[in-house]
Amino acid sequence: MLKIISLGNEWRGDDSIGPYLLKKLEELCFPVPIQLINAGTDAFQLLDHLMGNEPLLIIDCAQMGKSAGTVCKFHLTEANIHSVDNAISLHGFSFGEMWRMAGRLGDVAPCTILGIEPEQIEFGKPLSEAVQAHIPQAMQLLQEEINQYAN
Amino acid sequence: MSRDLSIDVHHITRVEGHGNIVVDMKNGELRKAQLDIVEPPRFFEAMMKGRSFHEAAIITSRICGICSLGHQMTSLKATEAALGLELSEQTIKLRKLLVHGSTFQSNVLHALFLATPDFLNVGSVFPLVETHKEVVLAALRLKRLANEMGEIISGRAVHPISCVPGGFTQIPTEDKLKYLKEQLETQGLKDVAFVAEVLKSLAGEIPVFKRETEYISVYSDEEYGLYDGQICSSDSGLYPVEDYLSVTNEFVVAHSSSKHARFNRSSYMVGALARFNNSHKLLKPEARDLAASLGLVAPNFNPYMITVAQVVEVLHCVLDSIDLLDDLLTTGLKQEKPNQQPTKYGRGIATTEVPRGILFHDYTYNRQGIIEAANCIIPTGQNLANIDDDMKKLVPEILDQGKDTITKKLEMLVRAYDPCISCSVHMLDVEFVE
Repeated sequence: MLKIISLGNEWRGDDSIGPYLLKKLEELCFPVPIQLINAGTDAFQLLDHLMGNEPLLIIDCAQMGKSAGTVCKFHLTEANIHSVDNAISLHGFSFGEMWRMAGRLGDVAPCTILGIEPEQIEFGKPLSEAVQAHIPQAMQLLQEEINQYAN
Repeated sequence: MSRDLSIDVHHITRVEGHGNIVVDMKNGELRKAQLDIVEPPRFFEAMMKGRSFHEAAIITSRICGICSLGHQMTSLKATEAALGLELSEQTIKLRKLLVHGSTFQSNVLHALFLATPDFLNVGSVFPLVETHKEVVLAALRLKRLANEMGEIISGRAVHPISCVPGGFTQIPTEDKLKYLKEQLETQGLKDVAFVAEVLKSLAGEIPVFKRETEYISVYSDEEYGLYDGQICSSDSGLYPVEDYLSVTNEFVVAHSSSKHARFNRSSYMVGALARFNNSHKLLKPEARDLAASLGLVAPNFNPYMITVAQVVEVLHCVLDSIDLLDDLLTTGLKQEKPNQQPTKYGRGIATTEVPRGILFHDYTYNRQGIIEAANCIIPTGQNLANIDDDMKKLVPEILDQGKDTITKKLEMLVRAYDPCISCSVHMLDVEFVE
């Protein structure tokens, strides 16, 4: 079963885009069973999922050096892990560290990232206009990914 | 080594807490040896005021993502004491299972992910993945098993949702409990045995240090005190939980934003070693044997042995979980509804052992079932004065061992207590000024 996992702090501006999109997905009907998981900001909790066999689609605010709101979808590899390496960190473990640890412990679940470039991630701020403007594009990419999995 | 020594192990920013180790010695005289806590208070007690009894456990569970279950249990028990809500035996057994899962998960992760890198002279768990892959995998399997216990019994691994005042909103199926029992009996016990063997092989790396202190924990005549019981002091005996304020005696110190605590001495210890010292006779026989084989004999006055006591508890919790599951499956599960009809209103006080030690919640409810006052005393705060006292004795004893060794042993000491700030302490910048 495809697992769609959101990362990010719901109270930190554009960092909340992952949980926001996940909530929008909860309102939809899918052609096949999909597991929706809000992983918050604790990368360590992702380890079990990364060590599983089921494909992961991770939605996260990611600082990729692009203009605010830019949406990128890519399959995660060693070559591009730096794009999301510092996206989240709690208890000293970043997502990149967890991904590499999973790789050293065994096979890693196929992992696709839907990253959205933030404008600001300050506490107490809402989603920026730049990110809000790209929500339809992000939802379309998510829907395409789900359809591709279903087929 | 100079008779002057200044150590400032300064914190780096981590969301779960900040702590600094500060040592100042001049002309052979120890002026300062302490753990500074600079994390701002979070005012959970204030948040509780005006909330209904349905919300208390949901809110306090958020005090900690690691021991959310312990806070939830203690909160529920305090509410039930205040409102006179009786519990069924089934509810208590299911809750004990949750406490066991939470305890063995936290103990395993601390022992293997935070303490073991010290014993192997590596900086973190990541090099362990290369050199001790099977250890990491065993720890992760035990963590996953504990998560499954939480998901099956309480609906979620972190911040449980089906535990409510008076019982459970949903009872797990017998098939799911059978699955848990089978997992615990097979892979669970196998992984615990492996973890114990690893720790045994590292026994020589555990620093030798002795300082007798007062040990305070939950105590029950019937079982190893975790879910419920009286307050036990190794110095002065048993006290009803309602007397917790006269035991904890919180006070403010300048170097910590968290209050310190003391009872019969200048400080006391809570946590796995305190529980072991006070309740070791009530461990499962296999866990007692494991303790002996790991060189842990009560009373033990070496705080570095907390890690060993944690591993002994892991075996106890797994074995007792199997027994509890046996009981539940033999009796058969009843589809009970939670008892949420208050028979009184007023003050309720409860205690539970969470992985880091004895935890107290104290609520006062008005006749509408709304909280008017709340007090929570967590284990890490109770250990802080004891950590300072340990440092004051340890530093002069190891002064000739060199800066690196002194710093490492101080960090290991703080980490041994498994404080909520341990992740930060593990990655601190170290600065010496002489």
